[in-house]
Amino acid sequence: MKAYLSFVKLRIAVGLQYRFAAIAGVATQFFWGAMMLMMYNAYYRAGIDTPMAWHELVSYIWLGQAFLMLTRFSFVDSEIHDSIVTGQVSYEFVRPLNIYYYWYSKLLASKVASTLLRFAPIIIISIFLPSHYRLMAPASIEAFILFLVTLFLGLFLSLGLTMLIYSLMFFTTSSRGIFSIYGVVADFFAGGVIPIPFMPGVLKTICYALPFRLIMDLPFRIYVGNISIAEGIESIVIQLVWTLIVILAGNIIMKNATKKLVVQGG
Amino acid sequence: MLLYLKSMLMHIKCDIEYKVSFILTVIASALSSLLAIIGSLILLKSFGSIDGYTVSEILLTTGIALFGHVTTEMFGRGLDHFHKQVKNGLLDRLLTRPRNITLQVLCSEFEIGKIGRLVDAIVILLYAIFTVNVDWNFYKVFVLLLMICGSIILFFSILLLKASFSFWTIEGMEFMNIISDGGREVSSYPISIYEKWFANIFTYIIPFGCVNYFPLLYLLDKGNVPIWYGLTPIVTIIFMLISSGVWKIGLKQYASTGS
Repeated sequence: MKAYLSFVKLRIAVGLQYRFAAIAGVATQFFWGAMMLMMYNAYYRAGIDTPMAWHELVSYIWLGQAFLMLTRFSFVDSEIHDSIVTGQVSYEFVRPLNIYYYWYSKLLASKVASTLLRFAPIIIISIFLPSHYRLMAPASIEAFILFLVTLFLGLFLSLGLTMLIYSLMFFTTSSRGIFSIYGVVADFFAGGVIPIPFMPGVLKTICYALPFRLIMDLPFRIYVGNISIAEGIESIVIQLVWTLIVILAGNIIMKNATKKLVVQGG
Repeated sequence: MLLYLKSMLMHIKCDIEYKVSFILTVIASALSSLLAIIGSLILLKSFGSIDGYTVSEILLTTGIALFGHVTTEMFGRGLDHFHKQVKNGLLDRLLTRPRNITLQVLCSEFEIGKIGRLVDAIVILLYAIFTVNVDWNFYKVFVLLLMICGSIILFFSILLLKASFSFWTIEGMEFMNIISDGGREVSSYPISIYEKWFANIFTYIIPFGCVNYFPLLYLLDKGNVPIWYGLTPIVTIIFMLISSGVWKIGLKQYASTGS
């Protein structure tokens, strides 16, 4: 455990070095948030009944931009990815560590580091925007606490899912394609393209059956008050079960994959 | 030209060599724009319209933006990754060859994998053209072609501008993606749906409004606009002249990054 923790610490320190990239990232995310809000504003001008109140939607979008690095599915740690493709991975097996948890902590660290660099400026700016486009305070103190808990648990679930994809990569040489398909599809079913409340019946059912929404849709909608506290607490159980399943599955696949690993070239 | 076609063919052969990987990349690129469009279709359906524009009208602007963006992404990948060539010194190698530099940079990469997204763009565009409520005549078809060409020219110029900046700095390239990728999203809708100041930036500084808004007003007969509104995509040529000017200045004063 200590070894993994020190990896997390080290990687966060490395990640925090990329400050300039972070500034550019903040500007980009701010732009996307603003653009999306103006687009939704044009829709809302029609004055039709909507499944999300305007201010719920505004906060939902700003939270999504602020925590993008934490919740996005196409997040690739290029070091891990390249090590599998180039065969460097064989050196990793020399270490007296469980490779699953080693990579898991590596991913955890790079996600946390890039989020730490970016989320605060976006939150602060969006609090001081004109009231129509402002990030609102959480629905209640309970909602805020539940938001933090579900966001935190969602992080572990999303890492488990990413590791599941990584372990599948041992069986194929076309990892980039698989990863981008996963990123795009998971993002859609998590509510990254449009918030889930807007989706028609069948799609909504599918979204609720899949684990992806537990990573972003759940915490953000708890924050804005679109999901009740009672439903939020129930969802924590579902989050935990899914996390357990994907971590277990990832471990099993990884073990099988690494038993008969063939490193291409040398 | 022959040289370009030849290198294009080589890149395609290279990519297709890994069959599964190639197919997966194509699927991924097709899915990414498809799911985004499904998203806006869901919104359009539940709200009925956006600012008075119907589904077909929005798909027309989305299709034009996507088509312009994806074609420049395919053919201009070399420019997109130009900062890497400056960084690793490949540009110096290109400079020693007795051929046009711009051509060589364009030849250096070609991304056939984006073909999935190109198919999306063409399907959307065709669907929109056949369902949108426009009395097509010779001039209106001409305006439509101008819009498509304008979109390509504009995205290409932005890419050229991005590449030019790497002569001065190789950091913060992400800023330029706001204009190219951001521009694609912004111009997926008629520019008038946004707040005034935002629409002004994307009309008078980066002329997306001249490609997807003024000519659209003419095509749809909205607000009795004069006939020359259909010709506004021509403005993109000025933008292209500016960006190719910057590119030439950059190339002229380029001093190698060493080693």
